[in-house]
Amino acid sequence: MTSDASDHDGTDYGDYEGEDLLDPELLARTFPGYDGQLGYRTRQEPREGDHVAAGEVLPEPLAENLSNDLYSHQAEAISRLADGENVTVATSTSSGKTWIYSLYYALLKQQNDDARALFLYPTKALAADQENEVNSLFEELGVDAVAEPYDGDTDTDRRPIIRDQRDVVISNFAAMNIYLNDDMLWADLLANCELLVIDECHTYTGIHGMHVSWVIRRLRRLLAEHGADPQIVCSTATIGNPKEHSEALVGTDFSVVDEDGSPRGAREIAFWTPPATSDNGAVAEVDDAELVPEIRRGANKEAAEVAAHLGLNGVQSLQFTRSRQETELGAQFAGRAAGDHPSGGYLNVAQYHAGLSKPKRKETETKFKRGDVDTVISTSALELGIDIGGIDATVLAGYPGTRQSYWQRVGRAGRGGSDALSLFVPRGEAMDQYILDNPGFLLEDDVEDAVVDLSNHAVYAKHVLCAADERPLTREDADWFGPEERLERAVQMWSDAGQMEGDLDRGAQYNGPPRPQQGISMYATGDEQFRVQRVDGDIDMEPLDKERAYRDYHPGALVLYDGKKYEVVEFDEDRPTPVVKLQRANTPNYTQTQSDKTVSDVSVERSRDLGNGYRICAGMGTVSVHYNSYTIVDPNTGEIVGMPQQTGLSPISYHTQLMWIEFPHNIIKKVAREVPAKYHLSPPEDKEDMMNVEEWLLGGGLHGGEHGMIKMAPLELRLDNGDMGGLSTLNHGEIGGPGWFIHDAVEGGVGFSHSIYDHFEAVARRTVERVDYCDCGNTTGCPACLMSSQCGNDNAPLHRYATVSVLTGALDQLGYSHEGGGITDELRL
Amino acid sequence: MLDVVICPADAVSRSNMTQLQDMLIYFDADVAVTERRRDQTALNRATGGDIEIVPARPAREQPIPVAQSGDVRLLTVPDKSELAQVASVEQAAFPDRPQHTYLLSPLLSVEVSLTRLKAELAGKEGYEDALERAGSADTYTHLTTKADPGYRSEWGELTVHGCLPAADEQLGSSEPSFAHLELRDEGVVSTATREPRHFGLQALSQVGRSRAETLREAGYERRRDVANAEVFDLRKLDDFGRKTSETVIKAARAFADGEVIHDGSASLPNREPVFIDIETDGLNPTMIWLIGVLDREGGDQYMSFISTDPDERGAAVEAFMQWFAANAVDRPVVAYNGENFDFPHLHRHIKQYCPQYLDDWEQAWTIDPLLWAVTKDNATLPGRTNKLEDVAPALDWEVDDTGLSGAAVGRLFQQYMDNPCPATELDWERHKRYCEDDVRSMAFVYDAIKEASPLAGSGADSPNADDENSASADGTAQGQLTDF
Repeated sequence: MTSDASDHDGTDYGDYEGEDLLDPELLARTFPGYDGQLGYRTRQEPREGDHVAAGEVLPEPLAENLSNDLYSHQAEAISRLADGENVTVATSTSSGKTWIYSLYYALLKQQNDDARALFLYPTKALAADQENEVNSLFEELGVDAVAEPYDGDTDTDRRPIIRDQRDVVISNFAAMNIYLNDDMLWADLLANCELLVIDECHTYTGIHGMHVSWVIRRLRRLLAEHGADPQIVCSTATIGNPKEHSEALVGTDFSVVDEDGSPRGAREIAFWTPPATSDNGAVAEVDDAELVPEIRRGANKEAAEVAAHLGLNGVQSLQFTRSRQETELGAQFAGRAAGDHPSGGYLNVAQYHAGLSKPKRKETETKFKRGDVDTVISTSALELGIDIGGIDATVLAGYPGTRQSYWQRVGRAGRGGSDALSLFVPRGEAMDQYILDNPGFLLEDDVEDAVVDLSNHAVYAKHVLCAADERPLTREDADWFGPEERLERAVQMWSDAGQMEGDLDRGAQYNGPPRPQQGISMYATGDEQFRVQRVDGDIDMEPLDKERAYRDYHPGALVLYDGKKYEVVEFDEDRPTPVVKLQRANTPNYTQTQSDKTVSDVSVERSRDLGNGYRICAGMGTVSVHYNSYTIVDPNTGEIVGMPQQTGLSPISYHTQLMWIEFPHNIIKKVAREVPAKYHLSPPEDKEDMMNVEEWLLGGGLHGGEHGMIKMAPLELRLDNGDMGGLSTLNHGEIGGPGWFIHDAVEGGVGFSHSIYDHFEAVARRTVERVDYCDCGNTTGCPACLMSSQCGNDNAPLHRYATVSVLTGALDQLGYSHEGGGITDELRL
Repeated sequence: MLDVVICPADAVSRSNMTQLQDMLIYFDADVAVTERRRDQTALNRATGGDIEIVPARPAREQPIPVAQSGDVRLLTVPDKSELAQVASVEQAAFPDRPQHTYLLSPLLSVEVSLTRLKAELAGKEGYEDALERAGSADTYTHLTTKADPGYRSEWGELTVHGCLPAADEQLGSSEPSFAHLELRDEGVVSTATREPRHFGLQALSQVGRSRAETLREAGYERRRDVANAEVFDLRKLDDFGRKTSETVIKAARAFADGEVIHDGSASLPNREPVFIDIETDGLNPTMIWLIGVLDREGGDQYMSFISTDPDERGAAVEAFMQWFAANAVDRPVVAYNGENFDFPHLHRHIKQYCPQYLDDWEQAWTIDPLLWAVTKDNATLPGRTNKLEDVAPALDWEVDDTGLSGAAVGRLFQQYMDNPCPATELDWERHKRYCEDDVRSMAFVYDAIKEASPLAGSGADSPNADDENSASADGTAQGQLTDF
């Protein structure tokens, strides 16, 4: 469907032609119950494709068989590959990245009939989806090559055939981790591999990214062992740092192609705010992931109604939502909305998520492509490249967590040159509210950097052990696992632990129980994984890290999973595989865990002196958390039910990465002076003899700063703030004064808190802005600005004014200038 | 040499009296060490007073238990203060210094910190101080109950060896087990572990705890009782279907009669195979230094392909392949557990050191009797486990009792590789003999399997033979592919 670029109304979405669907007057007339939801609106102009004749980069026999020209970025990438470089392609979804590497492989195959390739994806589903696309292209090109997936689902009988004969083997990293142990079975593929493709690289961040990076190194080591040195293509959605990220992930140089030559129709982007059911100033301590039911249904329900409205108007739409349960609910809401809709049309609606069977998902994908389905409500499962044809609109129920992910979803609409529409429906959460106030943040700012950090020794050590099992380790292996000093330490440690024998000169061999690769959990760092089971049925849940189990799944906890409420009725650590047992609970209540936390044994790795007693540092430390008690909360009243209960658990300690900020000793006076007296609050009765008013005030500022920065960090960086924690303190023994720590919540760290250190100014600024302009009107803040569901201290003390005061104190050292309009105006700076 | 069996609390808890008795008979040790003091009673009953039972943590104020056999002595020390007295204890009890003394205590443990990339021996300083006061040192090996028997490491002057199964997951495997330690002079320790389920009725295939319980309650105390039972008797019991009853009785008979029982209609090849066994420098070897080969075609020829020069890592493998390529390419190659160990490592080393023979190896017809019998379900082997060292004696093979475990040999060879000199040099002739004994015991087992085959004499001539039309002895219609 092509569009006329001069049509500036942008109303040609797919089959829809007519008035501007987002015209408020039109909405008032046609959208049931319209109450001014449409807010900010903008338009991205269409972009013409930049084409290059295939013949310019491909030899005639291949070029001639291609029915289309290439896009400029495809041609550029292929040309650089032909020059012998490794290439990272960082263009949008549906810009034809698969073609780049499939075409290049075809080229290699023509030059050498024995050439083979390995294409790796994050999931089995995506791998299976790519099989068709790749083989269709080979057919079109007239190349005698076949691609086939090989993973846990592959029939035993087919395995030797694929290993020995298939030109292109398609797989995923969790599988590769295991297969490396039997590299001799793969000898032919490894020896003849000329192209290695790593797709959807932007998904490899955090802990998972670390594991993938090491598996890539172990793979490249074996490829070298078998005499191969393939070229490598990394394919990624747009991220802030494609070169840095791919080079960190793979360990070699890359040339980046990121100028997107694919055509794009006009894109209308708008915000659609559900009518307020309750103020943001809800006093209830609301769990970010477990919002008060009304507010939550608000975004999903509203989004579904919008998607229905669009669908009934002939605009094929895809709604993204958070959980499987929400897709079910969303489909119901959409159906009902269509039924109540004045247009009286019939809406064909379907749900989509990873829990549905393969055939069911395939059916939905096909129907959607054919246009037989008007609206699909999906989880993030449809965010990645699975082919769903050209849809016209996307509706997002809530901010997906990163700009990168946001644009990925928006990009699903409007393939080729057709126009597209994208609506953002915010939830009550901090970031969603922030975006409403600051659309420029979402729409203008650069997408986040992807963070993958290889410095975590715990993950490194495990992969070194696996590598030793694959081949004895020698000094040469510092190429993959260096620097040499680090490898020596790892080998020495494992030798001392009896798991390795030998040394790097003679060869260090693995000496432990069979199959150490099985001990790698690609999504975790810890050893202790808690399995989750139900006493009254089945549940399909990933195992939990120990800390998560202690914090959220302790005995007596009430948890929400996939839209259903459960109580933890058994917690059994006293066996090789610890297990948590759940039972369905019929209650709206939820639990909040209280904890005592200490940070000790702090060592500085890097620091910045900001002047005047302000200092920020990054380093390592030991975090000890004791999830000792919990309270039950009634979400309808926000009040605590009954007395706090003991969890009966011991403290957890881990050694991890952290950053912290140190304040001058006079900060307490500065804050007391700047914050108007009318906002000075007295500490509650049970804290009265521990702190005076000034200390309570400063405490509120520090605690607020810690919470705020953790909440806002994801706005700048691609990290998961569920894997982080913090601790604020009026006076820490080791850092010698007031301040706060932000730490990674996994053993060894994942680079998140260090990333915050590196981007301190940007994150601190975001935090000040959010707190400054939050319209909760509360001195003690709200879930959107200062309150955190992870807080072990009951979200107290917190103080918006004090938080702004301490943060501006630090930022002033960096030359920050405040704009007016927020609570800063009231501070006596 | 002093033969010790370690009895951890959890292994003892999971065993009944029959199992304990079976275990003690099997290990035939001089001394049994109990982790938990009260287990001494149970073990005493099980042995009938035949072996010395020693607690791992003797009560204080009691004299330190000392056990000696030949040149080796074992002392169990509960805490540091007792350590200091070790020298005087030895002096007093046995004025003639033995070759080697083993100190068993809970005083040393290994702490591994992955995030700091460092492992430490906790308790080292205090331990060394106490020892120093005892005025002793280098002829000691320190056994710790805080580590698995597979654990061994040098910590400065201290040679530390683990001895308690499931002590520390990070240092080894974790199933509750009994451990057999052969404490030899020169500080060499050879270990083997067995779980409770390898003893008593549970040693029978398909019999776990609950079925063992059921059998016992029905009056079947020992394996021989089950061997004498009939299928229709067992079928009356809970959780015993027809197939299970058949399997269990078959297993019991195999055990009791010391015979292989053939299960399927697949058979081993007609061609006389070549039997091999390899010795390496560890489980993931950098060097295969000895390959023992038995060729009985036209006689009885045993060959050792050996390389004693650590700089010539591929010499033994190359020599073997040279012989193989010239003499035996079309013969089946048999190695026990070869599928998991010998064959993959040979494959890798041939590729690395003598790739000119890679094709010959990749086309070789390899057979692993363990895989064939157990994994592919073609035969039931007698013995408490399916390891060669249990199956061969169960078939009445006379075992050369002084062989070392593969791990121990690997370690000795590594020591030699680190520093080749007369002091570290292995007794090559002795090792060649052990290897020969292993190869011959394997040939013995192979013959026994072949003899048990109902189709003896009508086996396959090549790996691709299709046996679909052969009828098995008991009349079942369909044959199976001879599959290797």
